[in-house]
Amino acid sequence: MSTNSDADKTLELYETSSLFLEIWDRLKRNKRAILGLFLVIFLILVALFANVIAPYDPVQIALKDSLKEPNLAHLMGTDVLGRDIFSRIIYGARASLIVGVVATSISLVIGVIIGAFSGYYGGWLDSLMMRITDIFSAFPFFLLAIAIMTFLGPSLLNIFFALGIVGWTNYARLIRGQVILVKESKYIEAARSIGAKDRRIILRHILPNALAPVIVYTALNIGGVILAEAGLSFLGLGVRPPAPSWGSMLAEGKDFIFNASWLVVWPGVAIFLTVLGYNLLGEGLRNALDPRLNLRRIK
Amino acid sequence: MDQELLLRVKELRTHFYTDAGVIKAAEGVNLEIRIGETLGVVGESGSGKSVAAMSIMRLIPMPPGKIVSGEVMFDGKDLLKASEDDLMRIRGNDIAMIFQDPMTSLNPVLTVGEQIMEAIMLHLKAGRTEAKKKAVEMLKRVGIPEAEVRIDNYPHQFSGGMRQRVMIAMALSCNPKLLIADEPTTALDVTIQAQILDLMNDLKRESGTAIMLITHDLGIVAELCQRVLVMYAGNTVEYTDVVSLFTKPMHPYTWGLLRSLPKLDVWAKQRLEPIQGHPPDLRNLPQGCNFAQRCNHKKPICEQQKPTWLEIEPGHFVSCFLYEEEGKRHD
Repeated sequence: MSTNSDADKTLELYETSSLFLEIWDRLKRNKRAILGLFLVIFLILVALFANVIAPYDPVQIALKDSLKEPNLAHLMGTDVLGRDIFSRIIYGARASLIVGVVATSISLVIGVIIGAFSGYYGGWLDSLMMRITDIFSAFPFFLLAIAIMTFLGPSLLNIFFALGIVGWTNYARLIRGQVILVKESKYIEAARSIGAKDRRIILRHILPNALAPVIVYTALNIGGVILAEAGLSFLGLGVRPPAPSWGSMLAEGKDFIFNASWLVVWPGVAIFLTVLGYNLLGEGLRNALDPRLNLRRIK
Repeated sequence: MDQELLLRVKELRTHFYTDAGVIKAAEGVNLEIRIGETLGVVGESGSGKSVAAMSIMRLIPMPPGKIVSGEVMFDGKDLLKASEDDLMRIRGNDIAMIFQDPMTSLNPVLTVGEQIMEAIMLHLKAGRTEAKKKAVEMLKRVGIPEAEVRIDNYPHQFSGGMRQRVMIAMALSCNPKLLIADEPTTALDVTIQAQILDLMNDLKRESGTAIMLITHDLGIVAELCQRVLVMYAGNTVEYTDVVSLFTKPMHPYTWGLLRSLPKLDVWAKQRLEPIQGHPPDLRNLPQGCNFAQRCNHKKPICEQQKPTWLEIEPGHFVSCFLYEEEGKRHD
């Protein structure tokens, strides 16, 4: 019944056995993406093992060590209250990462739910939800976050909420567009023809196929959210002092920028590398997930 | 002849309401399929073949589509009046479908095994291990080598012909009573086409599944089908057994179709005779017979009234004014 040509053709395809492996294969050939991945993994490790790596308690005040230049005891120097900058940067990574991941997850969940319903069901539901999305995204992103934080007061929990709430609109739009695209596919029709219910079709057939650009945007967005958290903390609306945050460290150091530049340089470098890492990774993922690049492989 | 009736569609009308106007994609579809029989549905692109099939399964996207009227009796139930829950049970279980393009009808992020198992778990209430066993068995039945390994592969690791086999395995996994195949071989090359058609025929003989085969290839019809339905511009124009269709076709459109085929038995070099003109705009159908403007046997009444669907001879239905009086041609 089967032909040899079919069998031959398929045999050579055996080697690449999963979609995930194929994406990884493409990702690892992109040097910038690997640099991004390295930075992100490095940040995660630092955040996870902050208490092991940090040589000092990040909130321990030691006024006699005030404003020490970087030296062997304090690798990145100390701030005006004599706290070790290196330890504060390391613990700051924890705050940044948690805010980045949690706020993005909140945005993602709201966005996926609204976007999937809008895109799948269409009609008046879609119009209504998209107008709500328009209203939310009509506010400038950062201004809305500032307004919410001013209203709720600075705390980690409120940052999650504020940055999560302001960020979902882009997800909703992105996912809606993808769902509309995917739901017209033949395989969705095929799934319907075997009697699958709406919920099953959305969760099992549409969303996994709509996810590629969402993954890319999520990677880029975490960087953006970390930057926003730093901005809020810089304005005194973010992580409540004395807990370390890169943004508030910048704010505390800005008065000493000319005589103790290490106070602003290290938090600046930390923010820069983190956001760079996420952006490079996001860009790399975009290239790796783009199916059109397949053509180059097949030649 | 006295096989039991499985599906009867009567005066089915499906319209699409678009910004550019109402598209009458199916405008009076009549057909019958008996248990275990293969019905070929032929007609040019846009004649409403696929829309009719999708309407039977109630898979027309609504909006913009709407099944305006008609009756679809399947196994004693009117599917147009059935609840959505009932339909979910029927789809994939009693009626299954194979689509034209196997390259796009499989979900790229799920393994083929997962996709075959989906229908089995949904309808046969089987557990995962049991469903997987059944899926492997189905893959073997449709002639996929090393089924135990291939079941964990993704669709992009299969060639076009293999994917269509997977689609067939998926469709037949719950032993449906009716298989709707919407141009199952159009996207495949000719040798693979023959294999797939043979496979469908073999499986039909084994399992007694009736097939509604949508195609525009009269050769396939001659080979596989017992009965034929000819469609034109949303109408069913002729319905008969396959022998009558080729030996004594009755509708002028069917004559045209047959004349436009290349013939092997004609000795001289002979030009094919195409049917002149174009099918009418489905948004703006003529008042009379849809085929009137292209018909060589047109009468005045053809442009004023729609012909009715008449049984001219036992089992031979035609919708044409040439036969309006007791099967007598009067032109």
